[in-house]
Parts: sequence; C-alpha cells; structure tokens
Amino acid sequence: MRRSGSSIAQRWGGVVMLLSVAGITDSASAQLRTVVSRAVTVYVSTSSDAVSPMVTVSVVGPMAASNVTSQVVTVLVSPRGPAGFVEAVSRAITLRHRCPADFDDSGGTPDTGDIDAFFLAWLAGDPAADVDRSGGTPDSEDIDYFFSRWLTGGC
Amino acid sequence: MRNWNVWAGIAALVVTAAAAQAQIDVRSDGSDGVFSPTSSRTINLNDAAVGDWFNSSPIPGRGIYDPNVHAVVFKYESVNIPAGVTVTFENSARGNPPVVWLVRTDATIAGIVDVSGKPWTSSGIGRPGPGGYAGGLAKEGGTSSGSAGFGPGGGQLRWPNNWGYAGGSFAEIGITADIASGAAGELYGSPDLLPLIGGSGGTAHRNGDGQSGGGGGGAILVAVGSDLTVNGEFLALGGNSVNFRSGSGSGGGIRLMSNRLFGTGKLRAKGGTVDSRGGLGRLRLETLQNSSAFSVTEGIGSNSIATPGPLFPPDNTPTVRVRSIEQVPVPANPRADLSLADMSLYVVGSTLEIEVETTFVPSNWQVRVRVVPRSGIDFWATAIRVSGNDQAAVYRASIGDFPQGISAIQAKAVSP
Repeated sequence: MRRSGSSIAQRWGGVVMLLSVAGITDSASAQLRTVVSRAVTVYVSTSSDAVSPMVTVSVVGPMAASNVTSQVVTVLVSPRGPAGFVEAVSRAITLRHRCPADFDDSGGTPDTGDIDAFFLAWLAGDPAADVDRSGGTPDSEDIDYFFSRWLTGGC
Repeated sequence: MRNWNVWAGIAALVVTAAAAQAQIDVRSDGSDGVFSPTSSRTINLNDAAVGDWFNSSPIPGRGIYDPNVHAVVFKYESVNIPAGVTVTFENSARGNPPVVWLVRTDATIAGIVDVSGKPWTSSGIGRPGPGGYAGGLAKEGGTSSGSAGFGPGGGQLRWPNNWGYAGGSFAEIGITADIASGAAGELYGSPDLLPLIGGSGGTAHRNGDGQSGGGGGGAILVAVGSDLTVNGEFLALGGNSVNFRSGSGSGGGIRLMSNRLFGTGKLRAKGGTVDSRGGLGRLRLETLQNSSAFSVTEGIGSNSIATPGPLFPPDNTPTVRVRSIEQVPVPANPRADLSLADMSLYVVGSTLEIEVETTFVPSNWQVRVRVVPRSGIDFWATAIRVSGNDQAAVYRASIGDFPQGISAIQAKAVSP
C-alpha cells in the first residue's frame, strides 16, 4: 500500500473525504476514476490543532500497486462519511412496551386477573413484578405503583 | 481490521488479474463444499453455525452466521444450479440476515436463486426475503389496526383514513395510492450494496382483518473467484399486497462479483406489482472482465460495471446501533421478532428515551429513529447527540406517548 500525505488549511472535524487524482496518464486516470469510487479511501485524522490539522491519505487499489511514482492528490471536502458512505442503518429491534396495570396482557380495562397475576409474580420475586423499573427484587413500591395504575384504569 | 484486509487483498489482486487470468480472492476456502443441487431446494439459514465468517464452516453446506457482519456466509468450492432448479431460503431467526455466497472457483446459474419477499397472507404477515423487512402486520381480531411496513423504507400509515396505501421503498420510492392514508417509505441503502441489505415492507390494509403488506425482497451477494455465468435468474422481488388499499414490498438487493462475468440471464429486484406497489431494489455488478448481457431493467444501479470492491463494509464505515431504551441495554444481537420482543419494559413516566450509538458519523448528519407499532401509526423521532465525537458518539431520542404493545425500532443516520 502506498501512502501519500497532504494537508488542508481548515479543520474538518475528522470528516473523511473523497479523493480525485490527476497528473497521470489518461488510461491510468480512467482506471483510477473507476477505482476511486470503489477502492480508494481517504482517511482524515485531525489532530487537536485547529489551525493545521494533518490529513492522512491512504490509497488502496491499482494505483497503489502500480509503478506510478508521482501523483497529485486532491482532497475534496464532502459531507460524506468514510469511503463515501452517506447513510447508516441499524439493525432492527423489537420492544414490548407493557402497561403495568394490564399485568396479564389480556388487554382492555385492568381487572382482578391482573391483580392475581401481579401478586403471583411479586411473591415469586419475579423481575417482571418490578413494574416501577427501579431494579432489583420487587418491593412494596412496586405494589404501590401497580395499584396506582390499576386504580386509574390503565396507563 | 478483518474487513480492511479483505479489501486490500482484493484490490492487490485486481492488478494481477487484469494482466493475467487470475482469480480474485473472495476469501473462500471451499469449506461448504460443492453446491450442485439436482432438484429445487430450500436452504435453511437457521442451520448455520455462529462464528467468524473467516473461519471454515464447521458443518459443510450450512454456512456461518457472523453477527459482526450480520450475514450468513457460505464458502463454496463451486456452484452449479442447473436449469429447472430453484434455490430458496428459509430466513434466519437471528435478525433475518442476508445471504453471502463466496465461491472459490466458478459458479454457473442456469436455474433460479430466489431471495424474494413473500406476498400478503391471510395469516397476517408478508414475510421478507433474507436481509429484507416484513410487510405491515395485518389487523387481527384483538388489534385496532394493521401496521406500517417494516424496515427503513417501510410504507407508512397515515391518519385519519382507514387504509394503508403505501408501498415499501428501497432504491426507488414506492407508490402511494392515497397520500391522505399512507406515505411511501424513504429511500435508503448504498448503490454498491455496502452494507448488504434488503427491501422494506408495504403497509398492511389498515382495517382489513388478515391482510398484511407485502414483504421486502431479500439481499444476496455472490462473489466468485473465477467465472460467474448466469443464464438463469436471480430474484429479489418484493411481495405483493392484497390490493391497492395496502402496500407491496420493495425489491431487494443483488450484488454479483467475479473475475469474469458471462451469460444472458436476468437479475430482478422489482417491487411488488400490486398497487400500492413497491419501489425497485438495487442491483450491483462487479467484475474485471464483463462478457455478460444480463437483463437488468428490474432494479437500479446496474448501468455500469464496477471493479470488485470489498466484500463487507470497511472498518471505518459509519454505523448506527440502538444501544439502550430507558437505560436498559439492548441485546447485542437482536432477533427483531415481532411476536417475541427483544425487550420488555413497563410504561413508567410520560416519555421513553432511546439511545443510539454511532461510529464515524459526522456531526452534521441527522440521526433518527423509526418506530413501527404492531398496531397503529408509525413515526420517526430525531435523536440529538449527547456525548462523543465523530468517531464514536451517543445520540438520544425522547419520545412521548410511546405506544404500548410491540413495536419495531430502527435507527438511521443520514448525510445532509
């Protein structure tokens, strides 16, 4: 891997930038343009020095492996992230958001079945009875919280 | 550094291959053997071992699910799918990862490789293909309405009308037959299918019992060290909705990579065609020598042939992850199961806080969280950076009146 260095006179906060290359033969340039979007990544690591942050350019691909010894590297500022990415998507998760008063998840208005289910869990020390989400073993405050919700008819 | 090594390995070999007919290194040791089915079959992705995809498959033919790259990776010696044979997949319960075939030598596809999403069903769900997202869940007797489509481009429900006219989106915006009652999902994903991701679901019929949305098409990467010949078909179609009052799934993603590419086959990643139809999916071709004449009209992104790139996103790729809800950590490898939730929390207080962690996300990007309740209106919430920097940060979204019941939650970071 060939590495070449450059710098920019402005702080870019670590944003990684796109790269263009000039000063080489037409055929090589064409090849590089193809590669730029695929196999050239420019890493920009800014130091704490806001005046002259150092830009480190890492080139990977045909240019790096070729015999090109002289290159003009231009760093173009882009709002894109590393390697030209403009987006990231997380994995999905699923959350069950429960109403403490409807403890048995039967739906509708809380009823005595919810009380029975709650106390069974509470007496067993089941973490599910930690309805106030205070953590630890279910305690009297969970009972208070459960009934405060149950008596008002829900959540 | 694993991903970076892969990239560098491929790139270095590109030059060699251009000069001679060498293989590209797709990091396959052939440990899943020769895949040459003589009749149609379904590969159960749940059979995959869990581990580092870089290792040999412990049980040949079953692949490895690697949570770090979130894909089921098969490392074949060669692949030959004859005409008349269709290969399909049973989705993995480990968060429905996409499929990656790394083929050490040659692959010949005369039959069909199908990662399509499924159409609506009366049982209430339009299942996605592997790596895709489900169609909106149908209204059932005990629920007040159906749901929006799942995934970052899932069709969105709108109040107050009683329908859910909205197809899923991916590379193309889905169709919305009635903007008062539905909105097509957002565009997402990258043209090079890095990371590999499938299509999104369409909305369910809001008030129709048992009428789900269509599932999003799945995603597959086939990387072949030597010659890839396709005279058959790759399918990543979106599933159809029941009618125009619900939404079809968007097409998924097909990424093919090889040293040399041959054939006149079809790559199809079209959305479900029943209105409100789904958007087109993504197609990606990467080779050093293209001798193919594929039919690639049913998808976006195949207008040019690229040189082979990295198999997986490099280490400095922007990432986003839902890390906690109400300060309760989210499982590292969520299943995203819509019947058995990854987390269960009681309603306490009036707001619910969701924290999202990012890496390599610049400060000017917008981080948002999409919430798709099992029943009712979906919505997006904006998350604000509360700590960290562009390399690693934490964002927080505070959501009032968070719906009860099961919801799917997904975060997205987008450049301005």
